[in-house]
Amino acid sequence: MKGWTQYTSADEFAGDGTFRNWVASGTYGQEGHPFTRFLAGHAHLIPLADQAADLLRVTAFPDKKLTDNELKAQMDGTWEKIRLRENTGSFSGNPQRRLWLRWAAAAVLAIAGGLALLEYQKTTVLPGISGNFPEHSDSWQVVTNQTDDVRPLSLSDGSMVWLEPGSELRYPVAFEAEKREVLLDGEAFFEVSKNARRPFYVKTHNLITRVVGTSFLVRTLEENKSTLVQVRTGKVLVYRAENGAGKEEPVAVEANQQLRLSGDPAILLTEPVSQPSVLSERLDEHRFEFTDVPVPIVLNALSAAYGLSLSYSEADFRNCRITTALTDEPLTEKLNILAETIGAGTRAELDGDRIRLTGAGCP
Amino acid sequence: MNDVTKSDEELWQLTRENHESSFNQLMERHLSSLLHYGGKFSEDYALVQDCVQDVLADLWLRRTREAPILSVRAYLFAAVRNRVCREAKKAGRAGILDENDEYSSFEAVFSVEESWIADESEHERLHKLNHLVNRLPPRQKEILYLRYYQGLEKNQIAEVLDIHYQSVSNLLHRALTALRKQFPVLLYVFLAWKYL
Repeated sequence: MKGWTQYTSADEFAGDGTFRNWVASGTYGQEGHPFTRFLAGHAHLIPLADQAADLLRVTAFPDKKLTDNELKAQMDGTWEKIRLRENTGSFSGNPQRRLWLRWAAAAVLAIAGGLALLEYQKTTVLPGISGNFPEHSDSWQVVTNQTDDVRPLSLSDGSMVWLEPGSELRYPVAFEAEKREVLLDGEAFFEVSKNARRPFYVKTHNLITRVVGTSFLVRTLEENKSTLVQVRTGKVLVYRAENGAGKEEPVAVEANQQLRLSGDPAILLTEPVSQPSVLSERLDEHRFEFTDVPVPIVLNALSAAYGLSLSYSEADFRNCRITTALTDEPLTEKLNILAETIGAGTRAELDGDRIRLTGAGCP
Repeated sequence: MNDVTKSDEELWQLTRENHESSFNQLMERHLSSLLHYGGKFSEDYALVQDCVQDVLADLWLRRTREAPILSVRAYLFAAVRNRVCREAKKAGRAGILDENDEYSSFEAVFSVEESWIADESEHERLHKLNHLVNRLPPRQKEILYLRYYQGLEKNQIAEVLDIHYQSVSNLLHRALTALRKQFPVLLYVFLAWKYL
């Protein structure tokens, strides 16, 4: 309302968000309201504001806004149309492309993303797939977790990797335009930022897992020669590394299924999930759907699910109440949504193994 | 998530860079009002839904080829308006034509938002004003709808209706003048209307 004193027409009030919200709150002109007092101190504004309020109140409709479910149904309907046209349109000549597009459609329809668990023998170092990756290059970053705790890494595309102790991740400083590839030796949980046009590949010595946007875990079991891909919800595609993506029909792994590569010669076997990963279970336990709750409750839920500590001023933020539904976005995206929901000036970021929230908060 | 800090235009830029989540946010922001607006040109809700989804799907599929969009909201409103009018006509369910403005088939009955009235004594006055607003020609009603109900800026309205900015100001002014003439009781309040 700082700008109100500059207004010279009712129209400016009618277009002012703060003013519109005031009228919509049903307290327009109410005695004692700070805005009413403000207008009383600027009498020349009163007729302008009155007229704007009049017109706002007589050009309404009884229809209710869409409910969250209706809104979601409309968005799903739109994505269905998009996938349908993508499949029948310009990509129809390329069967391989069509396949992953079909997959993408399935992933979008399955609200939550997938969770896969991929195990392989830790002692194997990368030779099988090094052909696709420059061994020593400035454009590749190598991170080894030599601590005793899970180490969260955020990638340039917004994806998160939770690297287990003793594990190593290689990833390009900047991803290619067409695809996102990382190379893993060890164990990590991935939350991949959704991007249907830039599939995300996790390569290990014997398997390649392709996702478009989902979360999954890659884990090493010391004495286990077999490799396992475990999906919680959604779907991922798995290839054998020796054949490479595109040379062999990928195996789709659906929700609550796991894929095991074992035996000699190795065979691919799908079966129901036996033991879900720790983080998968923790995420299952927490639903990030909040209706008018104080921000600290949201932060505590995130902290508990991801096993991170918090750094913020409880006093500043306990009066901020938000309504939001966080699903399978990477943690970094969840934090962005949280900050955006709280409002201007708020920053929510990952700082090492703590979630840091800064900003003015709410009075 | 109504108070997100990213502007439509920032979200659109991210959409052009293939961020589905940004496109989803744009849809979340505008779907309700697009369906509402589309519904003012056809009573067939299934047809309106279909048109709105087609407009959004087209926008995503053409995101990299689309010419620069100044206002995402105005672009979407214009696209929905055109498509619903076209499809409704095809289906033989075109709305009533305005005698002054043959291509506007905007049909809406505004109501008084009771819950926004703090002072009981204002009810009668506002109901009278509402009655007058509803008797305005469709084109003027549409402008009031876009400005007051949907909160569009005048330059956005010009883009939606494909008319000049000055024409929007004129139509708005004409609507308000008509109201003032027919409602002299409110003259003391409406002194300020000369500024419009």
